[in-house]
Amino acid sequence: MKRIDLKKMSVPELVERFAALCLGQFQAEFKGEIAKENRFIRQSITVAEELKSRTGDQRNALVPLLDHPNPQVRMMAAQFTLAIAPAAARQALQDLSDRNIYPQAADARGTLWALERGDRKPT
Amino acid sequence: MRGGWIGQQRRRWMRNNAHLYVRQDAHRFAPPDAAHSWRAPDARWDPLGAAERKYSPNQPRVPAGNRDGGQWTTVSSGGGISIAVPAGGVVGADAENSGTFGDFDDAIDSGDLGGLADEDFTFNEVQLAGDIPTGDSPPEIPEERPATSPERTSFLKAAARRVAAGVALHVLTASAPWLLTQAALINSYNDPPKSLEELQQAVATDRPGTDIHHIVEQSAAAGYGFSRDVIDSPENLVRIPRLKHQEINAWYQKPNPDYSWKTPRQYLSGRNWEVRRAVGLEVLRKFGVLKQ
Repeated sequence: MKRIDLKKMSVPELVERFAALCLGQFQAEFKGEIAKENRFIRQSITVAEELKSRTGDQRNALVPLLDHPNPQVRMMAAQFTLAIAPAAARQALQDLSDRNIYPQAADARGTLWALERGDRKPT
Repeated sequence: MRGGWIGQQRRRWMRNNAHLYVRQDAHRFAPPDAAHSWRAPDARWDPLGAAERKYSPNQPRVPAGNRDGGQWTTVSSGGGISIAVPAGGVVGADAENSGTFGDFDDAIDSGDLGGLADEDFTFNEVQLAGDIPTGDSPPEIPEERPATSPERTSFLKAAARRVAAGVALHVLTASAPWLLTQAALINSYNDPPKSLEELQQAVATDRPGTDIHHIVEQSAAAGYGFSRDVIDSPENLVRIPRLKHQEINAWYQKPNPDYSWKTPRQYLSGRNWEVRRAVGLEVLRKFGVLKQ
């Protein structure tokens, strides 16, 4: 099987991969496949870390995903852009919370509360 | 056999709710000159709108002879990734909410997971458009009762979430009558948030579509050495909607950014009762079960 070397991927390719992994989470959640969903989550963390490690912190390339039609993509993009685009990321989380469709609403709400309490310090 | 099928189809389309059997995006399949005669998509089910959708006969497809021959493929991405990108430029924005997921799992490469990967997937020749719902809409609920319990649970969850989004239950049951037998699950999912006292008092009265839930997770607490008397005490028990119960149980098992991407269960491991209870109450609030 072909393995992907994230280091060799361009920023747009990493963003595409990130979105695809979030869509995989969405699918796995629907099907109740928690182990699979967790693999997708961990892979998306790895992609976001790769973007962060690029010169100038390329996580800003995830900001357009805050407007993605899929709620799981928006939620994950918000989690990784809180440090670099806090207003837009918080607004995306607030919208997901107000939308009141789970599980994204619960996750968004949890992050907003953690930020308010100061328990979460985006880096 | 064929005559029987035709007869069944005729009877189906003569029913007064026959329109419910037309898929929401039927207009997409109409010839261009006839598209105007189709009902415009309901914005609730078509959040992207017709403007975001596209069909291009020139979009490349996987060549014949391959496993996925004939399916949509990339507009270009190189580097091992190939994702159908819609005209709007947003990954997956074109995709349908068909309700049937393809084998997306086979499309993901394990990449560098720092030892977490337990499967190898290939990410080449992926078709996302049309494979999985990429929009805001839940998947279509099948007319017939799904054969397996996990499938039924998935679609019941989807139905409950649709009702939460404002769709009347009778609209769903008209096209998927099997949901009627599970109406209690869907209705309870949409209960308004209640006070802790209300949830605790409800434990004494069985109600279809609900479960008794331990605020401090019982298995983890028992494993840590808390006594059954404490775990099963009235203060630790609440009655909550069953589908919310499942969502909350899943929440405990997934990496969470607010716990440094540990799962809440990992975060709580070794913590005292008060911390566990605080997390247990907060997750009930997050999922709209407990009043804030």
